[in-house]
Amino acid sequence: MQLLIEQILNGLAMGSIYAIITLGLALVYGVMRILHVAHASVYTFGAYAGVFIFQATGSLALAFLGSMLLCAILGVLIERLVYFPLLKFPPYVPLIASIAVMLTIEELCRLIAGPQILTFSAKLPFPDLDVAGVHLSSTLIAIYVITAAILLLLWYLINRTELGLAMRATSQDMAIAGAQGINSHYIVSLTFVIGSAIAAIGGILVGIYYNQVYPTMGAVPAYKTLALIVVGGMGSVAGAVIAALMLGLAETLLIGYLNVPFPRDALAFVAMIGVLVWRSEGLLGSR
Amino acid sequence: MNPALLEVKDLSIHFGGLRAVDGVNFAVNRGEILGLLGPNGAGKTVTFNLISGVYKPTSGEIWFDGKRINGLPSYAIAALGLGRTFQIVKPFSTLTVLENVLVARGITRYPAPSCLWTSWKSRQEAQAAMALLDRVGLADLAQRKAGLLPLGNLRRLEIARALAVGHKLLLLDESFSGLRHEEISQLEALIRTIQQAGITVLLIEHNMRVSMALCDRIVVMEYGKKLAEGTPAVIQQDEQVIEAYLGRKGESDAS
Repeated sequence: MQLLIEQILNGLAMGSIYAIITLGLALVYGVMRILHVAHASVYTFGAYAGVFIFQATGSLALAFLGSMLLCAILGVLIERLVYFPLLKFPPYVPLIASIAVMLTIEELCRLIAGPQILTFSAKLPFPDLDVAGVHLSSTLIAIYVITAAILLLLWYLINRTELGLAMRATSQDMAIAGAQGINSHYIVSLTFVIGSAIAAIGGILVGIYYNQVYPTMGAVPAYKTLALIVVGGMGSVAGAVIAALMLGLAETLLIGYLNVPFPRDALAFVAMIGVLVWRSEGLLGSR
Repeated sequence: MNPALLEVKDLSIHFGGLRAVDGVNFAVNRGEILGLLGPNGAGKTVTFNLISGVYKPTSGEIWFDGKRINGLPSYAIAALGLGRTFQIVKPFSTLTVLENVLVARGITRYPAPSCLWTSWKSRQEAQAAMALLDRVGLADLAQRKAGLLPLGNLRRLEIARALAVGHKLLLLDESFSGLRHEEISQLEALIRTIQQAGITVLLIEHNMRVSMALCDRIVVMEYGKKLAEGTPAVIQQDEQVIEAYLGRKGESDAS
């Protein structure tokens, strides 16, 4: 019983991390209809930025802020220099460009930081908890709290603020939004800022959770998050979050707890194929 | 004050070898309803897209209320008080009717960072948006998802949205097409009240009866060039216009 609860808690943490990384992808797909595969390399870059700033300054707060800032800049650069000029082409063109960008950033990380695995031994400022014999590490609690805070803030931004309304309008039709006085390109850039800064948080959390940062750490998330936005419903942020939490739980419970003999990383794709066959609009998608 | 609110001077745009708009000159005077007519493919919608900043002209100038606007992005032109509708209605379909208007009402605040935290649901905003919906007769559908409205109501929604932006000039692109008889006369009445409120209107219209009745002046285009300009009475008698619409020597009418 206790093991089950611990596995559920681990699964939720896994799902939270998937959710954080998938958010940026869902946001970008929402406004630009581009599969931003390179988002996973922004996450890797964020982990590296975090670990280096932490080693240099010893401050986790600075590591988070600095990494978020650097990732936001990287995200906007990708948008301005790669995606925006390619918007007039069919969607596979920016997709291919995105894969190229991902490999480039990965290799740059490898060139600068070296191919070896870096450790990220930092303690997040959250307490360890023992509730009824179940141990909750401070890292787990940090992941829950930070993910919840991000989701709440993002929900408020999208549904309650004027900027969110402009984002939702832009995501439906940039030309029409322009005619209503919305600078759509500014909104698109802002979406990259938000998504990339969140990816930085994800990179640091994963780095601390597993105590490792390495150049290809974005590879598995890159394709898993793609499957997740399909399962959640293309461009639906809420759907992507639900799909991510479900995947985290399913992976840990089915494979970790029940020992189902099945490759764990393939689960996301089984779900994706299922969705494509039975419900092509995804969990919360329209159309 | 310059009587012309909008001036188009020697305006051209070429798409490859196609001269979609070719050296067009006309002016829209303050307070008038000017009709832009012409057979399909004459370059009317392209002209609209040039004025509203969707396309950048190959050459020529566009002046709006004393300011040269060609080359400006569409959101900046909209912010000067120029609202437009689209030939193919495109509401923000997952937003409600009210939210569609609120998007356009946000125009004065979008550049400010405060829109990061200000709510768009303030009572003041909602009232202003409801007043616009009331004006076009959609107030009772405010909470409906825009994607569920029939065409006639969508055209009204587009006009409400354009009104939220265009406190000086409205560009209406075939707002009457596809409407039923009674809807047409309601929309005619609406456009007259918009004119009475001091807003200048430039409209593209295929329906001859409507444009002759509604417009103060008419500009006729053909093959990207201006063919004729004048009051409806003059235009109706213009031989070139009759020829463009009815074809030469008994050729059948294509449009």
